[in-house]
Amino acid sequence: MLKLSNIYKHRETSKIGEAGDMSQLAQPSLNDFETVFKPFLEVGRRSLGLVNGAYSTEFDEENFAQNDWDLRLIEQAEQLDVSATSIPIEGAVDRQVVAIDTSSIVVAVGRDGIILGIRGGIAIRNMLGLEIQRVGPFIVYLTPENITSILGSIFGDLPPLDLSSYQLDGSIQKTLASLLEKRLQEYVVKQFKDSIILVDGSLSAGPQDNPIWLVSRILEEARPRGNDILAFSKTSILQFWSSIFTDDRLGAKPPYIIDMTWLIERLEMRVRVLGRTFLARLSSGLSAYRVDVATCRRVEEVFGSLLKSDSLIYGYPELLILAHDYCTFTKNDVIAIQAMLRKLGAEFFREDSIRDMLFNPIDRR
Amino acid sequence: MKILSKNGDTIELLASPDEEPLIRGDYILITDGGRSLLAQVIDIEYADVPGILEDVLRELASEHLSIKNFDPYGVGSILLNVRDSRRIIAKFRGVIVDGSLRNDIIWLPSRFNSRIEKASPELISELMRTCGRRRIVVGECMSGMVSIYAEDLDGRLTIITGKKETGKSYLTKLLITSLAEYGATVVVFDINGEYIGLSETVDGSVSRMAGRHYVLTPGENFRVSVEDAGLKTMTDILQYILATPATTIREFIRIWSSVERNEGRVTLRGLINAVSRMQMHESVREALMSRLLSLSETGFFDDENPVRVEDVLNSGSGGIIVIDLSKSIHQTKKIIVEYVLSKLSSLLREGAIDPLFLVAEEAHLYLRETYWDDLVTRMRHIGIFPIFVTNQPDSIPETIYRQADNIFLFNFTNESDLNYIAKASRVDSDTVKRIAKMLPPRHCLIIGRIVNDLPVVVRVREVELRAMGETRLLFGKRRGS
Repeated sequence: MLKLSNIYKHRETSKIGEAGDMSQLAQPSLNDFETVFKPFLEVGRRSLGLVNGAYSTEFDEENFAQNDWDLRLIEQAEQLDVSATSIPIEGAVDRQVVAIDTSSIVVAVGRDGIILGIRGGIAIRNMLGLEIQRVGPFIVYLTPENITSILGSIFGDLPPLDLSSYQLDGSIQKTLASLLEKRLQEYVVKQFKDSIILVDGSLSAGPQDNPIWLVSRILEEARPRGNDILAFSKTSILQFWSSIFTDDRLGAKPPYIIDMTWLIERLEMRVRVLGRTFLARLSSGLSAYRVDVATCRRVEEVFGSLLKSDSLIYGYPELLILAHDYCTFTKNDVIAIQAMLRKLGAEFFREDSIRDMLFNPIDRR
Repeated sequence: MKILSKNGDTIELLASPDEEPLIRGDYILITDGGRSLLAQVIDIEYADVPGILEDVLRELASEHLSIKNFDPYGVGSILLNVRDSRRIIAKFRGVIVDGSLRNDIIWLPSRFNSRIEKASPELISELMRTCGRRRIVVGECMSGMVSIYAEDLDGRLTIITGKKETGKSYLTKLLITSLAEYGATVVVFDINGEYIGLSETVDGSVSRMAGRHYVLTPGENFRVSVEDAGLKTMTDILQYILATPATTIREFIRIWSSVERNEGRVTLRGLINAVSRMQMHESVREALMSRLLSLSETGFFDDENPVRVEDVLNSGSGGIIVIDLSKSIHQTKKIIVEYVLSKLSSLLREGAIDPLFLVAEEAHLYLRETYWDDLVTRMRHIGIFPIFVTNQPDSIPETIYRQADNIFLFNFTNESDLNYIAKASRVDSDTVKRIAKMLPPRHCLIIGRIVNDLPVVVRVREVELRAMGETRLLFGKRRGS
């Protein structure tokens, strides 16, 4: 249940013409996705020609990724002395905020591979109001034969990816969605300037779906344009610490942040966090999130601007929720994608119905 | 379109929003192999699409947002179609085998391999055709003309009902003029003066009905003698309309016999004189005298120059005899109707006239209760075929609906009216309720034998006859006001 008390609006309605407006109004529009994703679309369309018989999958809500950490380390961290940094709202600068999220879904399983749908959502809030850009859905048929060409096409003709390490296994959906999300993030940080860029997840780099070179490249593209990146993780185990680092223990009242970079550097073995990591409690209550930041301004100043410019729902930026809402797939999306694929000649079967045809009414499972 | 389900006689189909639009009452043909299932569309609703609440909420919340889409595969337009897909509710009307419609065959077409299409008007006309020779073109249905046969009104009980200004009178005029042209006699109880202008066309010229249209205005060109009415009719008038007590009726019968015996003929004046001079209890005398004077004041009784109904009815080969009740007061209307029905019955029994159609508009206003059952049973057998026209369906007894052979149903929006009509036994209540509620003006649902029990929605064709009976307006013509 969404409580009104959990919706925070520190931001005030500003008028066009105030300081800082011009740079926001001069932002380019997002309209050349056809060019940006041209190689990916070409390879994707070719792949769909390979689909013939496929089993449609049961619609399943997206599962959020969980961090996989040793709980003993949390016990150690509990003994440490930490302090909170208050977020100043008074005098904070109203800035343009751009949030990016992607969602993916397995549309069907074919003889040789899987059909994936991926869609991005970009939410932009500035002096002019709120704008949503949906990118996709992109639809690809991934097979062992075309997996490298499809993944490679996300980054153009000469992808700096070690394509030999990617395989058609259970993680391929997450990998493809993550790479496409990074591509979208890269595009956004290049298109906008002096903006707060909100992304879903962390700035951890290392695994196949988050190559270090790619995350680094996004941060490098963002900095010279004055963009500050805040990566909100909804399901980090860091959130568990919010019950340890209470307001009373810290002697602080929200909104505040706790620098956890030192801890993350000690804990993260397999990955490398590019930027700094904070536990952010931006509104009262238990809601606290891990936020990885890569900013060219003081971190508390960036958070202050975020609070001034966007609303919070359970301490989480509303804009990220909107970006998420507009990229997630509904059951109807899946029906529509399957209908589109049927037009291309694909045929779908329900796995359950085959079982029913063969075994029911004897087999009731 | 695809078949979604069949439950009892209800068939549900899924349709894409960009398919050919259907209208309530349209017929669809579901063909699989050599057989076809005929179903009639009674309603169209949104399909229960999974997750639609979420989708609509999202759209609602987005109304104030600027939303742009980069949709490389055009999934959005398919999605729109999915979300807007329709659920068509249809009623099973039979299976067509070797060109004939049968209800006794248990058969279902394939959900996935059937061919579903709108039935052609020619097919529906063919299936609803009965054995008749006298065609009446009633209007348009599914882009084709619909005809019924006069023979299917012959000997039948017909009801024309719908709320005000939906076109009942137009249809009635169309039916009775067609019947008259085929040589039938139609007697109309006209309470609003709607049928007195049938001799003229809308532009004022003489209509084709001119030689077969007679208007009888009680008290003017329609006066009858007491003797012609007879003792039975007069006692009925006294008993049922003028609420005369039984003892007084007995005295009246004695007086009637006395006048007949002493004067050789019975006249209203003779009866009044006899009542004033014969010996009887003063209260009886007063009761009889006041009632006979009331009858005299109606101007309907004229013992010197009476009109003989049989002469009017036999004056030509069929026609429309309009009894204009519009100028008569409530009680006089009842007296006239009592006389006419009684007279027609006796003439038919004697074989003095041919069977006829009786159009009774808003009959509850002038028909005594005991006549309803009489009309649909005894009088039908002797040759009076009633056509009831009403905008108050509950004014006609429920039993009449159950026995109705043909119903022409115009728009009703009131639920209780629809529930009442839905009791008609010749069609399921869903069809009545769902179709009648949404009928536009001048459109009616025809149910019954006349359409071979295949309900059809018809747009009633224009009648070039002078309408009359329109509402007089205070501010002149509505459009110009």
